[in-house]
Amino acid sequence: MARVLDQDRVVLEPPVPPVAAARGQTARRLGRSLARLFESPVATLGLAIILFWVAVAVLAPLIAPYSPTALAGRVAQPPSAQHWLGTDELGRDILSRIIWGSQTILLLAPTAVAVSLLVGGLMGLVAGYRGGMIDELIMRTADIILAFPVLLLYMIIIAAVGPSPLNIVFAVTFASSPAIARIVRSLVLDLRSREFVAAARLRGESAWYIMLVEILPNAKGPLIVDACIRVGYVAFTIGTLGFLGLGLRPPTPDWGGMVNAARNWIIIAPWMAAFPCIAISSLVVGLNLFADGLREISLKD
Amino acid sequence: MPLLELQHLSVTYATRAGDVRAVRDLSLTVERGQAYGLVGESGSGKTSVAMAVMRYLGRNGRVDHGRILFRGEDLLAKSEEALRALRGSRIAMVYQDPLSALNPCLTVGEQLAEVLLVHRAMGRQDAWTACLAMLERVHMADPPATMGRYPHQLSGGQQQRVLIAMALLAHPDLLVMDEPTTGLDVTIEATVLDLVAELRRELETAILYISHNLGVVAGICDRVGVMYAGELVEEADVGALFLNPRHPYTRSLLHCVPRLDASRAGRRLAAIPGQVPQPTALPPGCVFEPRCGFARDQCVASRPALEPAARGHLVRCLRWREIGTATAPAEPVTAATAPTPRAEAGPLLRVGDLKSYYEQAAGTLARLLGRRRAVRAVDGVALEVAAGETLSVVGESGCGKSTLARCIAGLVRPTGGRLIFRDLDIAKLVEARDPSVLRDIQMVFQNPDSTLNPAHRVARALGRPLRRLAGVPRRRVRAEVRRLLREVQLDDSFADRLPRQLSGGQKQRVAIARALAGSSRLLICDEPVSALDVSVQAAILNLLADIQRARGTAMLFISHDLSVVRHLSDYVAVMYLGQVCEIGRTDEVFAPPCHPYTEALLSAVPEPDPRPRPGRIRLHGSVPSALDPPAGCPFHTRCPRKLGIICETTPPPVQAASPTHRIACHIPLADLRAAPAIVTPG
Repeated sequence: MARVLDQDRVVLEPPVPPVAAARGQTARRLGRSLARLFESPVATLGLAIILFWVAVAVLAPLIAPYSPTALAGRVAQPPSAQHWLGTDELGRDILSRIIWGSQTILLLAPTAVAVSLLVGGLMGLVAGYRGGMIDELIMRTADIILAFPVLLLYMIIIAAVGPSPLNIVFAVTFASSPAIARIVRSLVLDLRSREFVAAARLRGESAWYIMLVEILPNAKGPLIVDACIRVGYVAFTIGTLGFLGLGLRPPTPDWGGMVNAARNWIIIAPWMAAFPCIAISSLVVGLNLFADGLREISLKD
Repeated sequence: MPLLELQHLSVTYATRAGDVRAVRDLSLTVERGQAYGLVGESGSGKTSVAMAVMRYLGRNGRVDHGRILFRGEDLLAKSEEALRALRGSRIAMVYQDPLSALNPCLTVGEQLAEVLLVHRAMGRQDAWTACLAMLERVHMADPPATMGRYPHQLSGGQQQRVLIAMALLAHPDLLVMDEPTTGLDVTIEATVLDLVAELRRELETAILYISHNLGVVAGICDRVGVMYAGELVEEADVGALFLNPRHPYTRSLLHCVPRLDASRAGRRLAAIPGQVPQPTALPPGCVFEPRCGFARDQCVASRPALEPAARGHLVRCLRWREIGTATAPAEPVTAATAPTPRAEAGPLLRVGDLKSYYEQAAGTLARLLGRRRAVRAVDGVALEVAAGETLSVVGESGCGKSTLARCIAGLVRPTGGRLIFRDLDIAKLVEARDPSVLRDIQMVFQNPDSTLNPAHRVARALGRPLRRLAGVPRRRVRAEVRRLLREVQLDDSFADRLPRQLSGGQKQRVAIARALAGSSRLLICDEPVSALDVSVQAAILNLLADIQRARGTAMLFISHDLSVVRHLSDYVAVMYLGQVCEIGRTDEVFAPPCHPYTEALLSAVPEPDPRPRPGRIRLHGSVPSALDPPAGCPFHTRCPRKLGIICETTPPPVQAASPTHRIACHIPLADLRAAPAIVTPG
């Protein structure tokens, strides 16, 4: 029955060039995934918050009322018509600094997580697939790194190599790839005993092909969820580093640094600390909600 | 008044895709003391019926129509409290997976006694004594010791015995058994089924027995209902149903099961085309119409009702009168071919004294202390496969047949022995083998759900081996994929599907196509049909036979199912605890003289024929651990024909019953020959 229908359709439709057909198919698949995403209110809300901040970061030059470094008014003003979120200890517009600061965090956090995923994923893949001594070597190294309190690790690294965007990425990679390696390894241990891996070995595929093409695509679901949560953590970490004075150098707008600078004013001008704090937490909450929603959707299948 | 009466029962599950009606308008009655067998393939709704009777449908399931009368009272109207009192005392259930039905934290004794403490308000001492007696009753070896054990310390057969004992403790009126022997080996299954049959004769308990296996139901039930796609399509007494089936589905089902007594001789199985329809996309008329060889326009137009064809024989078919006893015009039967003679050029694959030991997973500490224990999965196997012929390896779980297959494929490194393919030494991992061997030895795996990469479309799953093994240039891959798909009887539209869009049988077809991509000369099939429904299994077996005939591929077929093996093979090797105990031509192995283990395996196979069979022997106990295989003959701990001390001390000699037939046993050939045949030659 179905076959007959398929043949009919082939006859009725004009021939589609293969590339266009593939593109149409990809678009359709993307549409279906989005439709499923919107079934989960949690994921939709999370995505909305994330997209809000992405929009803010992209449109920063257009929507920021002042330059983030300009002394735009009097010092430590409460929110007003000129300065919606007030001004900071030097008289800069807090709203503008938060808007510009979103660029820093939205650029750094995903980059750092992407690099960690690359490094940690590779470690986990090799350890899980190869097993034996290589596994022991990689995973014991990971254990040693994981034994340090994360914050201490960040402080040691940044103190040693100095604060810069690149070094923050490096520090995050160093501290979080062991945890990613563990997740990937456990996924690989399960996947490598599947029969399709045996079939790939029987046709003489190389170990790298099996790891990257046969195994990795099947581990991506849990990894995407983990990555979303991790971007949230890293956003937090970057805030913390800023607060500890290990973030970006002033006067670069940096949410954590803003909280730090507002520390001494907390009684007199609480809004100076409150607004960057709200910014950080809303982004982290958005990412977590999104990750929760994704997990919920993946569990339904 | 019947004990259990289901009236127009409908069961619906709420899913994301909408409501799914798993059971529609099902009526049946179970009389006191009667054993009613409910048979059907996966997706037929048989388990939903059992769960509805127990009122265990789960959160998303509901009975949305009909009544369930137990001793005249409607179970659906009962409160949760009243149901709880009923379950365990008047109605008891035995589940498919015994290990998950037993509490791992409590000893067997505690769990058994609880039934009596709760439902019978017995004293602790009395309860304990009654439990001991019940374990004795189900032929459990050493009941007092068993009472103190935890479920994981028992074998699968013992666990199932404990569950049956537990179910019977409160003397229920109705015992619901949902595939209680499906996970067990044949020899264990046979003893459990004997037990069920015996208990039925002696106790007044009625049984609702749910199974996919026609042979099992034929052996122990009085009345049988056949379910298909949520409907009861035929119901009759066991003799009438198996000897004079009326519904085309029942008949096809009986025809598509390979039989022990039918030898290969080029016969094809009468496979049922297509597959069970999804409950969300049922055909408008008769549910079986799309797969029925007798279907006419009227079958598409209207839904048949269940009507009496004879006294006590109900059938749901519009055309049962016209069909009579004609057999369905199934696939054309191909001309019989004689068993392929051994090629003159010598065997394709030679296995000599092959050993595969692996270390038991021990803790780091035990490893450091030098405590290593080897599991002897394969222990000195010798066999040969010639080009174009099929050698089957049979045995129960743990006999080493899969490890043997994986050694030959190169997925496991052999510990010792010879593996010669053509004239190349292949006793190494596949990565270390000569590249020319790769395309020649391919494998079809057991589990349809893990055999294909879920992330790759069919076109890719087939395209890659085509390019690597057959060297097909990129621009011709697409056409070659279509050709391969046609060879396994799938149409072109399958190329763009993902594995999750395929049924189990279709996945296995793709896996076979993948193994054929490089025109392999030896195809290793590791239980390729054991996860499939019988109607699908027949089609896959036919496909394998066709391919072999067309391409002249040699096959090494691993299976636990003797009927399948009989149907498919030229030669058979029987394995027990890592050793081959008998090897020979198929007709030789299935007739005396045979090894006592082969004899036991043969007599354990449940056959879809309710007439009693001669010469049954049963094995007791379970397969010993391959960590400490018994000395002498490995089979002596369970052998019903053990001679004496010689079996325990001396490895058995290999006796040649014919130039092609070898038996490893101490019993003289003359005595083995004198044993009655288990299978009448077909």
